[in-house]
Amino acid sequence: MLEKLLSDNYWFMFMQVVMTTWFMPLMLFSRLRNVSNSYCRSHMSSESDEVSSLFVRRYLTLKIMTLLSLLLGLAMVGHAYFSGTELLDWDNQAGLVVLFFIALIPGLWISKVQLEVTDIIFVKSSSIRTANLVAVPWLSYISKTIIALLLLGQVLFVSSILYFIENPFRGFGGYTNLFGLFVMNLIFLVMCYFALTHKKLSTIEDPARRHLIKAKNLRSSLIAWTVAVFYLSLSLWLSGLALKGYTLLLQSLYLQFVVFLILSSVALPNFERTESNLTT
Amino acid sequence: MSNPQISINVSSTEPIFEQLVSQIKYAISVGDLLGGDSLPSIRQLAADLGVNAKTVAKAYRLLERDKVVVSRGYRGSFVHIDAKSNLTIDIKSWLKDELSKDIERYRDSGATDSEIRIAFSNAMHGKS
Repeated sequence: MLEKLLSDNYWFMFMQVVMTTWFMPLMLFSRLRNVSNSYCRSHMSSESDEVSSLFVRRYLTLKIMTLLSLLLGLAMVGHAYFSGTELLDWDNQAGLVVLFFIALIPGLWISKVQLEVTDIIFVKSSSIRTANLVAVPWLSYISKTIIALLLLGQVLFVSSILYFIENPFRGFGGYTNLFGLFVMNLIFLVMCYFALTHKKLSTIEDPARRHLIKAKNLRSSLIAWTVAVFYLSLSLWLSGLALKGYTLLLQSLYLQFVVFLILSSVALPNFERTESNLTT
Repeated sequence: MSNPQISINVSSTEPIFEQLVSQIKYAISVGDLLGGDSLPSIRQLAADLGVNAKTVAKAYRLLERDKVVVSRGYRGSFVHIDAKSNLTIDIKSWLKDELSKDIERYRDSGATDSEIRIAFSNAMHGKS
């Protein structure tokens, strides 16, 4: 049984279910709770109890949601495993995407809790807002290494498409892939723009701390963008080289990474870490 | 030199755009901002302060009018090279002085305060 599990594609499907529906939501919820409690204790002691009790109430619901998501995911993969079919008796690639969406259900709940906490902090925070009076160039938020990697990924993907147009494989979409790249770039550009301009951070009084948090949010978006471009190139090559088994593994790992990024982004910024960065 | 900062109170009765104008003028008067220094973009400042971009744009427009700030299109807004000497321009008190003189003239010619108010309102809104 174990041999069958390891020799087939099922092991990473089970791993995706456990990681994305159970381990990641609970781990990141606990991070959100610790960061929020710690921030409220040090900056807004009067609201500390309100925030802690909110987390106690929401944790129970989250546990039920993650358990249901886990059971649903395990049932899907278990059915495919024991009947020897593809996921949902349909298609493994599509099934992995369905598992990905199931994993987002607890993520939506964490996002709701995060909004509730932010509202408490936003409403109860001081009415004083502070900002720097000098222009901060947007380049100061960005790591040059990530930008170089992103550009490299774009060049790699476009070159791969041009190569496969000359040497096509079955199912290759041709120039449509370039349109896909354009749309993806547009989506990530919008994400980066909102990472720099969203107003929720205005309640943080110290502009230097705000700068660090924005840089961190932007870095997350850029990393997701870079990984997405490399993932597309790699999956193109795996399909071109007829290594479909690896394509599925790669897709599963990529989807786990995306779930991790989405769940991480709903957790409040790590104030303690930015505080220590400010002093160094 | 440390970065000059601006602090506003969103609960204050003083309008936010006026707080922005007075604080930017103050930063120039004490030498925190010098002629030619670049200012944050309207969107950036609005996001940092959690206020509407139109509010910041209004403050910048008033500062441009007073020749304290100069806008250079896509390159952004900068402190006017003569900003410090232009700080003394107080258009509000100039307006008040001029209007007081005019109102005195209208009263002398027999117009009542309500007639003056209605005529002023009609003139402002282009009514006959």
